[in-house]
Amino acid sequence: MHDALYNLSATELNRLFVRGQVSAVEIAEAFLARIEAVEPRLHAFLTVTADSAVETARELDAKRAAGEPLGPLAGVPVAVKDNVAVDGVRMTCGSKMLAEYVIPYDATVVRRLKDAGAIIVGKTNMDEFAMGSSGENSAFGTTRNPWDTARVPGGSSSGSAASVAARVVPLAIGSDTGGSIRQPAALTGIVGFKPTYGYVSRYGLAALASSLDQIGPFARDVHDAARLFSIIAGYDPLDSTSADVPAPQPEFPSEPDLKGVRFGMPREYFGEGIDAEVKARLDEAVATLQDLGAEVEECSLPHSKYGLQAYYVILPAEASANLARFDGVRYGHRAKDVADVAEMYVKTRTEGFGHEVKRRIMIGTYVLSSDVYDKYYKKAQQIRTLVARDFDRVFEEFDALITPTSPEVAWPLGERHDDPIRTYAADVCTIPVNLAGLPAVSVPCGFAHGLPVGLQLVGKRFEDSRLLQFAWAYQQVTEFHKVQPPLNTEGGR
Amino acid sequence: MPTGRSEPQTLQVVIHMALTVDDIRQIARLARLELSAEEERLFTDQLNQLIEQVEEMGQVDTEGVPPMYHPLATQHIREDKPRASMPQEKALDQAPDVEAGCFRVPKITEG
Repeated sequence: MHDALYNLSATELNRLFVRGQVSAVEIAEAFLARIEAVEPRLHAFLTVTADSAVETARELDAKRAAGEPLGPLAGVPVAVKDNVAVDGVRMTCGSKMLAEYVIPYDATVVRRLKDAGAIIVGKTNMDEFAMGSSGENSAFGTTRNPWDTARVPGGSSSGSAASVAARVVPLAIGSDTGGSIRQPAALTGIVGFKPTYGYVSRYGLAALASSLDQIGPFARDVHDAARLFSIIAGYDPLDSTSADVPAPQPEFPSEPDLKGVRFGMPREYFGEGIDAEVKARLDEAVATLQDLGAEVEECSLPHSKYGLQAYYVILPAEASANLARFDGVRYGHRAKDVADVAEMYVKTRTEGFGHEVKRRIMIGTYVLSSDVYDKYYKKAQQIRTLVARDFDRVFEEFDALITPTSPEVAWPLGERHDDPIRTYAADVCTIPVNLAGLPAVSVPCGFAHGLPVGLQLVGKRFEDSRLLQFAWAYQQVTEFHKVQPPLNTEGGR
Repeated sequence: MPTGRSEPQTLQVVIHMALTVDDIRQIARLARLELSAEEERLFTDQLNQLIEQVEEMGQVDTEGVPPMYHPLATQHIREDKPRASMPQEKALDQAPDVEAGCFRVPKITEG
């Protein structure tokens, strides 16, 4: 029985537990054993919360025995990216700056997970402060891609994606600022969903770029992703940017049907730089959507290509301001042997931050300096308006948009070491979505060069449930999300 | 830390010209970072490369376009009234140095 548990979806695990066919402790122990077995090859976790997971499971078993109500995630193991706060657990953000930091409160999403009966099994590896697309910027070693452990899993939510793909957990929480949920989901062959900005509370998420950051789910199928989304979404007074809208409850029909649904294919997202095999998988996905009754037409988002440039400015600007809080005074690393407080700031930050973080702080500090503020920062925000207006215009005609999630498949570890321009460019299809604050989901749509390819569907603001219905329909008639990576079947390469 | 949010700061750089190693040192000072000689060289090159890319924004006519600082039109601000918060002990628990219920730092000197 235990051997099979880790292959089950969140929905199936919850059902088995609620019906009394398996205990929560059995589930927790099975998944903790799975983590232990896979971690040496995967390195998806920075902290495994084995004790508290078993304790939570015992409480769940007691609740069930007493006939108390059980939540919609009761008995379901969940992993949480290490920039989202879990009370009393170390939270590093993938940085030496916070190597020993134990956060004293729960993020709102974590509070909601716990209330729903989820078993939190650990904190996942990530690029330092979520800056990166490969996972290689973690201060604590790189997470491997379960499809080929010599390749990157994508980033920045590397460990969350890899752990779901390798069936170490059925669900994980990530954060997405420019593609950090969708891109690793695509590169590891799973579902990653970035909700509309404001739908999920950011309280307890370590801020990277506050106007772009959004928390969202990883799962192996859309149904599970929607289940997690419906629990974490909804208004939160603790986040001033939380939208005052009710939590969505996505429902799925009995049969997939996309009759009358209009999809746009923005031609700028299929231009140069896209791998030919990736493009072929996207064409096949389009044909599948058409078979389901959808109408697909080309459209144009002319300013999206400048979105990348605007993002180069906006992200570091916001990040440099957000990371100003790391000064060694209140928590985290503090440099020793300093003459005065000024030296303490400099030494603390110099010792605590990694290379990529320093680079982006430098860029942000520069673009916010008075001489170039209008030229770069203000200009970028004006371009952001144009990027968002393009989306508004095409959404008058279309219900959702189809793009690749990533123009390429997972690349070899170390290949782009210290080549920021090339690494940043990998996020070209995902970044404009964050600039406009829209929802988007990546679903597996086949393989190129033997590695997973992701289909990105972009939806209208706060029509997240409808977007997930489209993605669900696609998964009902495709099998790509059921294919297991070699790490699971061959014992790893 | 005294580096401000979006407070524009004075930086003596000649616009339209590539950033020099001296400019990089000045930016690092504002960011409260100390760079190695290697990092200074690398960041000079990389920031210049990046700025070259960012310059492409100049191709877009943004005359009269309002800047979009945030994806949401409205943000709610909670009522300014006292409520229970984290106990002092817990808030100070992770501090590197504490004295008498306060964060303790090395001496603060001018200049």
